[in-house]
Amino acid sequence: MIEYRNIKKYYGDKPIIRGVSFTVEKGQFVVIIGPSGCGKTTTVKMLNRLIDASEGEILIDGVSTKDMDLIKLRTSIGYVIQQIGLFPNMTVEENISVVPRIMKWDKEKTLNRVKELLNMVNMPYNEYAGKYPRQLSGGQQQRIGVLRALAVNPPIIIMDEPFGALDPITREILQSEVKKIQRELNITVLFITHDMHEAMKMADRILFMDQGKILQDAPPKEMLLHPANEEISKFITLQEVSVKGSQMTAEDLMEAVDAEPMRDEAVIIVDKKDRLSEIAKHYELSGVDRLYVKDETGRVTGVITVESIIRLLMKQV
Amino acid sequence: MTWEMVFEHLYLVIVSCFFVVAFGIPIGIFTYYHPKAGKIVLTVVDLFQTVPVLAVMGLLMTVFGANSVTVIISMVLYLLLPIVRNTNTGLNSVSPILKETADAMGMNRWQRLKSVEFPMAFSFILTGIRIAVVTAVGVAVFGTFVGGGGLGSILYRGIRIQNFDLIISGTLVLMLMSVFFDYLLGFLEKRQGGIYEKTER
Repeated sequence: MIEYRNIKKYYGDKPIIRGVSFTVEKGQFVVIIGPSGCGKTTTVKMLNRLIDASEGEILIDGVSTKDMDLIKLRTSIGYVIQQIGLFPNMTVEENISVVPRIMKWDKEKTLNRVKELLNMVNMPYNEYAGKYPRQLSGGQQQRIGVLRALAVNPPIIIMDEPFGALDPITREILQSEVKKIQRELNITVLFITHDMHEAMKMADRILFMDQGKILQDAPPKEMLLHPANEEISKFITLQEVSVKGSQMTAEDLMEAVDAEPMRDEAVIIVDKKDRLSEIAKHYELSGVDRLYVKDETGRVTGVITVESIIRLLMKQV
Repeated sequence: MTWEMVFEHLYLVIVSCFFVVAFGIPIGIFTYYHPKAGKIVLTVVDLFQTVPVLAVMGLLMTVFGANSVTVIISMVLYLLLPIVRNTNTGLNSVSPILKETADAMGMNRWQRLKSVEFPMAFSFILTGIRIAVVTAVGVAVFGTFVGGGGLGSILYRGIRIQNFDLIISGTLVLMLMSVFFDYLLGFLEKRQGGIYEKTER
């Protein structure tokens, strides 16, 4: 578990990070998004202490990063940036072996690990191990970057706009690969991007940052449907991101009302987890103009009307 | 002109270049790690090259005597500049992103130098060595004035007795030597440059 506690950073008198606090559970995929210069990279680089915080502290599994051995801290956090981060003077195999070597793994163990990792992304050892980064395509380079970060099975990985320089198709493929690997290995990921589509696809949770502050901390769908302020909704609108109808549930479509048990028998009550398709069926079959939504405890917490749906759609235009 | 003189000359060039590389690169690395002290060092090294070699040889002769040691020490001092400066420039020109990535992987300073910065700066450093070696061929000519031997004596004698053929033949051999070293090191440099991608875009 990672815990940021009121982190601040100044360069001279200039505040760059103005009090950032959040927690990331083990195995969570957290995307930090925001406009250029919002402080997202600085925030993440403080985790492996490439940058030291001016105030506040960061805990990993309850231990302050300040109290950890710097090398141990860094070797336990994988680090992926755009493909420029591969060492051009090293072969694919040497690049992947960097952290195992720092940790003094023996040769055989390292070799087996390199083979295993290359297999994972369908790049045969015999064909690719001896190649230099410049001999690879952008997508292949980035795969190697990811493998290098995974080499010693670190519990945490930082990814700073790792797919920014890739073409859309390759990016799509790599996103899926990374998400799959992350789920399988239950890795905690801090992922930086300014691409809302990418955030939607990858994140369990999105932190929206601007001017050194977190403006919203929410699951992707919630951020999209209920942006905390004008700026976030503008950011989302500009990138033309929207939630697919098939992903919407009653909870997304409703407008909150005061919780009360419904006595009138004639009304229709749906579960807050019900999908759009089921809700549509109710409308069609019963001809009512409003549906009530109940939560886990059976209390009515919201109402879906044509107006509520239109208002929701308006927010996304 | 004898083969002995040619070998003497080669000896001066190779030994002085060996030492200038052995000292120059660590000094260059020092100036990279300690930019403030490094500025002073670079200025001193700069000064070494502004003083005429012949004067330095004359001065050192009073200490070490008239022999090849005097010549080699003078040459080393004179030739430090290209190597120290190119090592410094090379290390400074390595992409900051790569340096930071090396840190992020958990490399310490020595590992970072050995496996990232030095290899990336190596083609710069080779250029420095190439300049030093080619310069050395010319500078070693002065060795003859302080008893260091080499091809300088041919030129000196040729000038004294105004023997045009002697001057030409000595000069041709020196030029040949320069071209040979230049070509050899240029070849290494090219091969080196081919291995690594030029990362900065």
